[in-house]
Amino acid sequence: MTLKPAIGSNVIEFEQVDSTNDYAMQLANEGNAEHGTTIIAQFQTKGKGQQGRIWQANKEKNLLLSVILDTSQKDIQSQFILNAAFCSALAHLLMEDYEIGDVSIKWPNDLYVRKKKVAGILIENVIRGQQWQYSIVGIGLNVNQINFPPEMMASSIKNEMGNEIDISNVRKKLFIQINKAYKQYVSNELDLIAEYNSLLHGYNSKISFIKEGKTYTGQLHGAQQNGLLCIDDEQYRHGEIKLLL
Amino acid sequence: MAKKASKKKAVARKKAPAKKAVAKKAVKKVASKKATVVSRSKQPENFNIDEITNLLNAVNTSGVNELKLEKGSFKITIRQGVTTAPAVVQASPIVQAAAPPAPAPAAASAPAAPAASPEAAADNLITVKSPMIGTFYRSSSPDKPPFMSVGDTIKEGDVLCIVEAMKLFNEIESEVSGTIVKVLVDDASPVEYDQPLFLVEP
Repeated sequence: MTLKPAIGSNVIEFEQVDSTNDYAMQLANEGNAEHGTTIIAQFQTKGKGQQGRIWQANKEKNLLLSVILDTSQKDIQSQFILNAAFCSALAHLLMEDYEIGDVSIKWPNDLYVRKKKVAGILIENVIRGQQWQYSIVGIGLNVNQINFPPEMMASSIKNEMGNEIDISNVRKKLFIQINKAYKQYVSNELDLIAEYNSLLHGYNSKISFIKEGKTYTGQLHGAQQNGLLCIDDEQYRHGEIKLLL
Repeated sequence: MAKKASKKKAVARKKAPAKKAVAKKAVKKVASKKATVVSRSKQPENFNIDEITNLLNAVNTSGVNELKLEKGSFKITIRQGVTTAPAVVQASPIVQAAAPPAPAPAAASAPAAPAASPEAAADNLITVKSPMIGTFYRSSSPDKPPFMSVGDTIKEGDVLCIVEAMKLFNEIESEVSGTIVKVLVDDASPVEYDQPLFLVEP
């Protein structure tokens, strides 16, 4: 078996692109996708975010990239664990490489510092029949942007650190973190859920959430391998509930 | 050519046990509900499990899509094929309150829906099934046209739909070439693992 190239060893860079995920997906659909190839854009005109919301990014201020992974050897059932691996990698980047405190993952795929969102992940997969062929992992990380619309409740590494950050350095460190996480995903994926849960906002404590317009509180027991969130004795799918910070 | 034929065979073979399981489950469900509420029952008129089994068989062989029957306060509706729901039997609440306990093993061993659903009725068609639990989307976003509609010609590798689960978006590509004959699930509705999504004429 040949060794797969490291994530980030092959980079396609754009000043501006509709969406790095769309571009990566197009490569995958054309059969031109190589494992580890990463699409980076300084600016996205149609960056994808939560529920179709556009990821708001100032030009050249933030890190926007999409990683193409060959997942043909992996089980479809482990998709959420891949999400967990990338969320944990981003958390480690913020906590270890930039020594930012109070970092947490908001289920299922957002990174928060205190109550402000700093990064998000959006995974799109290519499935042929029943076989998982590719995963496109889109990452948006706020680096040097300092002004955000107040309703966005967002922040950046610069806002948290107080000084301008070298984006190419962030990129290098991010690749180290995600390569580490991906290796773990390939070899011992179960530990990743425990790690993800340990970083989860509100883990093992009382949290509030909205379900069908009503607010509830409950003990958060963490996410399962399949991504279901356990609160008290119930399990919830994404979309069923909205967590309050 | 030979490869294609064998693939089709494999699909057809896989189908039968899955469907059987669904039908069994549905019958069982009725049976167990009856068992729990029998003490409240004051209705002498009802269907027994043999009658229900016979009805199921009759519907299966007849090709009708839906059968509704009433006997006293007892109502039963049997649907097949055309709906997207996997259930074969749908019992009204009255059924649950009125029926006698039925031996579950008998229900489980009842011959169940071998020739009922559309993919079996027209065995030259290929059923595209959901690889996971999630939400089915026919287009990449609400303002975009559907990836595929009935009558469209598709080839291997074409995107058919998206199934979203836990904010993970899965583009489902076709393994076969052919024509879309039927879309079995409504846009934005939940789907189960292995649930039929499309019928394709190869």
